[in-house]
Amino acid sequence: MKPAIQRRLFLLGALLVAGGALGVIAWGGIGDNLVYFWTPAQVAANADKAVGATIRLGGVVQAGTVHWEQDQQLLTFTVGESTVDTKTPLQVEAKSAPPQMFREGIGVVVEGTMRTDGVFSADKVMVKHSNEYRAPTGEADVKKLYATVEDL
Amino acid sequence: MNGTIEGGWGYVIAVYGISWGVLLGYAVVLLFQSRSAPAQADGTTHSQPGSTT
Amino acid sequence: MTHRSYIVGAVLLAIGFATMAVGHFIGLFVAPREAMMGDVGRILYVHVPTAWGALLLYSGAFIAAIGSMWTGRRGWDAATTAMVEAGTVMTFLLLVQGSLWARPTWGTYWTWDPRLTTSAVLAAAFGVVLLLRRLIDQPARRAMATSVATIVAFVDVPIVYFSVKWWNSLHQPVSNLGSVDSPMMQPLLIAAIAIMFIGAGLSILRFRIELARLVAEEAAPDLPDMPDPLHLEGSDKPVQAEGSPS
Repeated sequence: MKPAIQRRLFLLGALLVAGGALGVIAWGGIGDNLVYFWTPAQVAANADKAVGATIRLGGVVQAGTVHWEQDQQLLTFTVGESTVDTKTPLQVEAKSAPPQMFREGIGVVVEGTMRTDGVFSADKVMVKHSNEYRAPTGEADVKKLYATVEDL
Repeated sequence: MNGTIEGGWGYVIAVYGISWGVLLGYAVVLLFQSRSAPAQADGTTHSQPGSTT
Repeated sequence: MTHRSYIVGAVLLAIGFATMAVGHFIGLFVAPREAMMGDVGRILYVHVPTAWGALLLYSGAFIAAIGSMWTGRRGWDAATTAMVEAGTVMTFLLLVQGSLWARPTWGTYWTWDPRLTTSAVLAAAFGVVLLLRRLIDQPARRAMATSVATIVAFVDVPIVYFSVKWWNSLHQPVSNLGSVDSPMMQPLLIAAIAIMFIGAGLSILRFRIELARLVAEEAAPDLPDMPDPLHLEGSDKPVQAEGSPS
């Protein structure tokens, strides 16, 4: 076989392999097995599997549920599917100080495990930022927070 | 825990410092190396036997 | 007597770094702080352009790899190598930047989020391409290995891009015109244009070095027992080809 033809056959093969791999990952459902976090509803639906296993739970911190005990370094809050979740909100207990951006209504991903009493015990609390980058002039409450930062 | 990050310039300076340092450093190395590289058209006459790769 | 491509590369770099300095100056000192991330949000203006630069360089390498396998010319081989290396420099930068941004915002330097995981795979895969290249002495075979490895590694590029859409992720989704306020969009775009120039300049200079190496190597092969690569190509075939006695 001529080198040129051989090279081009290899090219065809490489492109087919690459395209096939991408197709399988994009549309073949392999991605369904790659789960970074479970939502509260998914945890609720698989409660038996969630207990004892190290998993990540992702959701929105529910308003009015955040308690931070400075002395015990104990943070408790409730995580829901959305900003207001009345169906499957989940109680979370973490033994670490939250990141600075932590607040009510923000997206979080917590790492830990479900306890038998139905409380999620977290070792790590991570805050999710949206793809929105806003100047601090839009909302009034944010502006107020901004002002307090400026005063420091 | 008030929802905004206070301070944090340290991280900003570190990121910008590393980024500029690496990009500029890499650019300078390439500028230096490609200057001494023989021009592509007549390159064959300037071969360096045993040149390290 | 400097070759024209050297001057072009140097000028592109000069324009790129000057433009990036302007964009970063605006981003650091003129643009407002981000509502929630405060000053840390300014990392946006270097992190996002770096990501775009890396993905574009890898896309260029992918095209050059196809050109290399189609034509067999060493210019395409040198171009593939140049863009893979420049892209990998940017990808490693990307991981470091992201890590230093994640600590104050998310609360951790690293987590196996889909975007982060696929980006780490990207750096590793193209790192392997560069390593592979150093391990193979025979030019035609090395060009083939480089091209095939580049095409396969490139599969991860769209996966990195779409990872935030396909899977649950901690990383923020792709930024767009609506999601970034205009006083922040301006420095972001300036820095993004700047990194295109820098990427192009780096690629051209690295291409010159690689091409000179290939030319020198052909004139005086490193290994004494190595036959002329041009004739070797037909007789000593890679593993998968059928060996014909001739």
